[in-house]
Amino acid sequence: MRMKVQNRSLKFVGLGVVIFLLIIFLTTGLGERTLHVVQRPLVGAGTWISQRVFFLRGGQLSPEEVAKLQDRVLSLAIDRVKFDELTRQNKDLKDTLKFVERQDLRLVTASIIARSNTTQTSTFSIDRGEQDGVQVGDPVIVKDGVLVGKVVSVTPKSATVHSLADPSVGTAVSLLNQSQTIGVAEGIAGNLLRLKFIPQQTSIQVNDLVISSGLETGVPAGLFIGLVNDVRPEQNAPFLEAVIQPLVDIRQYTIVHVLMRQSL
Amino acid sequence: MTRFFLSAGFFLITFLFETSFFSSLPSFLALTPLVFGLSIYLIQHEGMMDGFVWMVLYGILMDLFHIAPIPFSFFAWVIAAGLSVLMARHVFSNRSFYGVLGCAFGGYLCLMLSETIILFLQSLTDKLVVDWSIFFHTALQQSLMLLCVMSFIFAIARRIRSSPFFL
Repeated sequence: MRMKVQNRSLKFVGLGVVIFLLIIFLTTGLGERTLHVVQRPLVGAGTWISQRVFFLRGGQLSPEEVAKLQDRVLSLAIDRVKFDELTRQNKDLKDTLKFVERQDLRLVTASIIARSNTTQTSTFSIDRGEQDGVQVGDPVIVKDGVLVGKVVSVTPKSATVHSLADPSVGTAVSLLNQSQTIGVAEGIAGNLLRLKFIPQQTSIQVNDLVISSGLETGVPAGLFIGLVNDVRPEQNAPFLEAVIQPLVDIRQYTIVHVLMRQSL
Repeated sequence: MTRFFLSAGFFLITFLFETSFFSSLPSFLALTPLVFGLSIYLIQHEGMMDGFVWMVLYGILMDLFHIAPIPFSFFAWVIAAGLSVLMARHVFSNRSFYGVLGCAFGGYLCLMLSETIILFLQSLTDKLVVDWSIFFHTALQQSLMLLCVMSFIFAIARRIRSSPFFL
């Protein structure tokens, strides 16, 4: 009987030791780096399948056609920005450019190593952390300066990013309409963003381009965010609200870039 | 001790597959509850407490890596793991597929209830806006994926056990 109890205690001690070692392994630098080596190809394989299994996303187009159309949307959006910015006589643009230059930004490329498996939040981990200079609040972009999220926590070798469509994330944005409406867009369900408290007299159209306003610490102005998908009156308030569709779907990417402010 | 290390290794592989591979898949495939399914199988059909430890570890790691869908998910996973063990011992038969399935859905229901309570409390204290329709829609999709995972594990495990290598 006593032997049995002793064996049982030994088992629990052994189990505790293994759990402790596992957690230590996963949270120290060497363990994290080792895991990243395994995680990168797994995320790559999943994303590769995701890009090809297009019928699950409700489309009837081939992956090549989808990619072409996505590039086209992005390129049109960029053209539209250039056009709008050129046609305004552009003290504002100069100021913005000066502002971006003043920010003293540095770019670090990172791989996505894990994602949250739910549709109510949109979170992913990247293989760059504190030791690479990543800080909480740093903006995360993909190709051509499309803002996709912000760093919410960092460990020495990795960081967690909340995408802009996450309900806990608010982003200072500006609309490229006549009045250059500014506000804070917050994530809502269905991978969308919502811009609230827009005055009713504001001229705002579907397909207006939304960019970052630069009124947020660490996030420079002029990063692409999305297009206005819908404009509707707010319930019980004399304001409009705009639903914004992000320009890119982060689940289609395995590589992102973190914009960092260089240490002063 | 070797068995514990082997179990920890299998858990790690399963965890990585779920959070890196499956979560990158499109649509409802991203919701595949691989660790939960395997844990329930170990607890219910094999009578191994490793499943309980896997679920607790999963909660810890999700919180540690900040990729949990809810805050403090560790508590939800501990409650679900504990109740799954109780159900496996006192409610469901461990011989049939339906017993395993019953335990899996009982455990999942418990996990969802715990998450709902945590989210509700969080929404009261932090003014967190929770879209409950999305939450329950996700839960429904995930429960269907759980059914697929359990069927797959049950079929594969039976085939492995009846192979000449194990006989």
